[in-house]
Amino acid sequence: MSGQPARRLKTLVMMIIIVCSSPVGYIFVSKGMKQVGWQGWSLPSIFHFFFQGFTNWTIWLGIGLLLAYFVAFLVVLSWADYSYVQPAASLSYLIVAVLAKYVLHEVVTPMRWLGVIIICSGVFIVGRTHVRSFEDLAP
Amino acid sequence: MITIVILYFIVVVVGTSGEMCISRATKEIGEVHDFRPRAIARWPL
Repeated sequence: MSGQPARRLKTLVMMIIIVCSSPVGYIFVSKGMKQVGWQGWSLPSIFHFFFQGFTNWTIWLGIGLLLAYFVAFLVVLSWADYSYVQPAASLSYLIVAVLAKYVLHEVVTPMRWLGVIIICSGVFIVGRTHVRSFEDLAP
Repeated sequence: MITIVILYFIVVVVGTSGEMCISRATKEIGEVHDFRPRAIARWPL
């Protein structure tokens, strides 16, 4: 697998994994942490907090998804620019906002939606460039 | 408020610096061509 179209395709696949696994992973971790709850700074409370965290399957599911995100992030960075990957991965903010509203039942204000739309516009602009900067400069 | 600003600064600076180091290191290792899980696990070693 080589050449610019092939590189674009594998970048797209990796970006889909990054954009999907990261927000879903964070949602699971967030949901799990709220199930555990914070009980205070006393030593037994902290021990209980960590024990509850380590035995919570929702948190482990989230950690697994975040691990998948990290591996995909490492792999895509082996050929793509950081200045391409990082803004493109910000599309996950859209998924975070949607999941926060419908899964965590958080209130996402119109101002936050506006911010997400601005981020998505930036992702669209970045997506129009090549994944490696020297390909942009090539004649 | 100052604590939030300091923590936010640490998250942004430390997080971005870490990702830039990862970006540089992965390019030094070389592009991934084999996407089988075992090959990906061996790739950074």
